[in-house]
Amino acid sequence: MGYIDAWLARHQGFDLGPRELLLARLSLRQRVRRLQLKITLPATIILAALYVVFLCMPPASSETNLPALGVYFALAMVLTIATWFTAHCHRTGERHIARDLTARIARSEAVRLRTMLGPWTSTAVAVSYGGGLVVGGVAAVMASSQPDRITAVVFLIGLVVLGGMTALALKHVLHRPALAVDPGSLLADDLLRTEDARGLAAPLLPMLLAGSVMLAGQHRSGTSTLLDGFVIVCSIFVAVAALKEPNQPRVVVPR
Amino acid sequence: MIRIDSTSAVPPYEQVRSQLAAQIADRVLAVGTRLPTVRQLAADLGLAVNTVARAYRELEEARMVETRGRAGTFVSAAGERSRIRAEQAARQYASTAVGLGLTASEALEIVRAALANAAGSPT
Repeated sequence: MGYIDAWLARHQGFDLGPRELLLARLSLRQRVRRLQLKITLPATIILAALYVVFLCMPPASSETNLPALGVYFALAMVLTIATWFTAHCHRTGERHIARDLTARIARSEAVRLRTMLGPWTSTAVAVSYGGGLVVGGVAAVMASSQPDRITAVVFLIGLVVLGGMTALALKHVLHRPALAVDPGSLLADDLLRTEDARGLAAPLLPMLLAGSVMLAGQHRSGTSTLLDGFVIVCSIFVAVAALKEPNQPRVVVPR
Repeated sequence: MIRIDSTSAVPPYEQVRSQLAAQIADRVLAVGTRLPTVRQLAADLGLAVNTVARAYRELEEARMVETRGRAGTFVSAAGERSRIRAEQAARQYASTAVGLGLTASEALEIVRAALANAAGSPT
């Protein structure tokens, strides 16, 4: 089952506006997803292989495996550039769709990020980024050795960069023009926006970052114990948010 | 929600203004509700920013909305208070009219004449 069929099956029974508009939007998203996969998959495989190779090599002078960290950041950079590029393609495609709309409707209330994400996802985001900053800060201050401090600082810098990029991307999702011609298509727009926002805000990157710096540290210490705890707490919040807030229409409109 | 009819003879800014005014009057938009930014609403409706800005300006002049700096534009409590005062005055007038033995159509005719007079007089 393709992306479009799966999406339509998930939201069966709801009035989501004109079928042509919905299909145009979904097929654009499908193309964008495929494009993103084409860019990121080869880069991810190559960089992940390099990362594993560097992790297997013993570090030369310090206990922190800097080449492995470097590869990790290259991977993060490739993923980020791919995300921005595909987001640009998505924006251009949506502008083309908007040009063909003869009527437009809009919400008369401002969309709030917290409302769109839902309380559980918002909490998971706050815990992963806010909690990550606290954990990284404590680890950097309390570090007993230089490699431990480097690991904590690398984690903190990575978290700030990731947080900034995520905030920018979320801002774009929140403020992008609604493509709607009736209440049904406005509901579909809400759903797509919510999916995008939750996808972006999902605190998987901070967890991946914590895991990577732990691996690059290559030895058990107070820092890695703190990061272990951070990953476990984040995982619990992510799981609860996914269970409590599935992406379903909030308003049931019979066909 | 706000709908723009591009085939209508009513200018787009008036369509935005009247729909927001109606929603505020009907309390669909409660006091304190944050409206979309001018840019956001213009992008959503495919209108020029100045068109939506004019609608917001007129709503602000009518004290139905208020702009709180960078926090955004909110439905004003002043509009709500005005409505409550108008409703109180209407109830008082209705009881006076009933007390004087006026029929509903006579009472409404007096109100219409008073409104026409108020609209014609300089403010």
